[in-house]
Amino acid sequence: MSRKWLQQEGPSWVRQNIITPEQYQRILACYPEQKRAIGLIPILGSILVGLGILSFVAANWQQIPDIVRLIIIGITMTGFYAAGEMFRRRNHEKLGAGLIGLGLLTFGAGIVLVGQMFHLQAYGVTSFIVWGTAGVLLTYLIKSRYLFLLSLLIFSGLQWYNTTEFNHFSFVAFVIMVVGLGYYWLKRPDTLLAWCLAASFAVQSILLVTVHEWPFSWFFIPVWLLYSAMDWAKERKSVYPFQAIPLVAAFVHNLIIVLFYTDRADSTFLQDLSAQPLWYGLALALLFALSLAGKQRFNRLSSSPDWLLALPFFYMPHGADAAYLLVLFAFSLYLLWRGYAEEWAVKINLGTLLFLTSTMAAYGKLAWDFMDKSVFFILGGVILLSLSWFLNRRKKQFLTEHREEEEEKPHD
Amino acid sequence: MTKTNNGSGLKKKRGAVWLMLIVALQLLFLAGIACFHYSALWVGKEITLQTVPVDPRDQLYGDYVQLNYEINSPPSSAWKGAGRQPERGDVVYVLLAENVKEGDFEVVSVHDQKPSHSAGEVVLKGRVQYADYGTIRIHYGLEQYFVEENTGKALEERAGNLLVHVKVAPWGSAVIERIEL
Repeated sequence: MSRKWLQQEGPSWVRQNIITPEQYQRILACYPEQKRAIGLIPILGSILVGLGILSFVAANWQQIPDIVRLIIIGITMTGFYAAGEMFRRRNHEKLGAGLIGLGLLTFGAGIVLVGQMFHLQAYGVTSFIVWGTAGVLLTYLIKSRYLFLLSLLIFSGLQWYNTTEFNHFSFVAFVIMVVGLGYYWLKRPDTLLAWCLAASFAVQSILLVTVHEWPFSWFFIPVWLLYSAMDWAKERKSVYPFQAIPLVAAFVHNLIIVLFYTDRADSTFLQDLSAQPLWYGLALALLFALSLAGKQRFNRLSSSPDWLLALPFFYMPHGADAAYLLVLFAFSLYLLWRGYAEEWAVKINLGTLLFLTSTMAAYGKLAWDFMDKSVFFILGGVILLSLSWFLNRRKKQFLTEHREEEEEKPHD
Repeated sequence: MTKTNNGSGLKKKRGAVWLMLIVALQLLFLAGIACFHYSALWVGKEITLQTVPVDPRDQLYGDYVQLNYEINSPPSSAWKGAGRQPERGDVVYVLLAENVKEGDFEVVSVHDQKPSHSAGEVVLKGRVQYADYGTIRIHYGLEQYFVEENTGKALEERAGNLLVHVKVAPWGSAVIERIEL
């Protein structure tokens, strides 16, 4: 329903005594003004201008002397920052943040330009770390989600560049990002920022493990550390992405083992994956204890089955795929059950999706080898369709019941 | 009402001071790295390097020539570091000395720590790209030379046989000064 329409029609309902003025105000309050959509335009505009500046600098302008080019960059950068500050003072917060973001992008362009001036091919990311740190400082100063995301992007990008180009993981950059942006998030929790920060954390953990050529399962130590740390957060609502991303990562990992591992004597698939058992087991047990203690403290022990996904079956000499398959099913059913119990649509949807995925994995695993391929696909499709129909019906039923309850409440 | 306005006004003013500080630091940083490299041109010791042929490669950075030097691929026997062989990503220090007959500088040895050197020698800092088949592939950050738009291809064809004049500062930064055509 559009707020505008409500504002037009509402007063006549009050006049006709259909609703009281107080009820009208309460209905109106349910549809807050959509400021966000308009607020996005300056941000999008600033991204475009920023890209323009970057490509302008990249297409090198040799006719202009070096020092003049550097001065131009300096003036442009200062100009964007000053303009941003000016608009912020006049209460154009979004436009101001957009322009300050442009200043930050120009700073990055300046770093690239200086490299070009001296024909240097950087073989490290130190100057990019300075760039990202400037972004973090600005995020604290301006308190803008846009600058938060921009800084996160700079750090993720430089880590990616560092690992692919130089085969090197920058712990300095990682710590500045996690501490700087993490602390900012703690002060101003926000769901979208949590998703992005958690995703970047997980991707960088993968980079860390692959650069050092460690057995892949070490990836789960930082990831479960993130999960466990969040069990100590009092607040629930905006924290869940920090735990959802680790769970999704673990689920995908287990799924891949189910799909691609074949139980043969000569297979080294799992051995390549396996971390040194003693230290890995110890670290995992420690994190599990940390997590349980946090859950216990805030009365959330009911979410402990999440740890099913962490079980290290890759140490088993046989039947690891079957064990993981059982875990996938157990976890998705548990998630569905919790979703209905907590009346939380995100969990129901995710549980449904994971359950369907597990079913398909099981089906693929068991049926692929001894079935004609076309029959395989047709049967698989039919199973998926009927399952999704069943689960959807269950969800609709549940949501209708839920809604009726909600509607009954005000009458009490 | 006015009181809160004043309060937020004060806050904004303080914010502006911080913003000015952060912007000044960024300007200082850009000027600083520029000076760092300029100083190599002013006080650095000039050395001449011989290039060898390279496959032209395009990248997003406008027009530049990809340079490949003899000193990019010293033999594994030049490794004088302690312990294991160098691996991809390692920082190494390369000792160069002048070949009096040719007039260019060539690799004497490769180290994991900065070695001491005599007046006729220089030390370049580099990063190992890979090490196999009896050579260590090292990049020094001098492997590209930006030129005017649309002149790169022509120069690239001759890039295999150029003398490149590089200035090396005592603190290790090295900058291409000019290319001898």
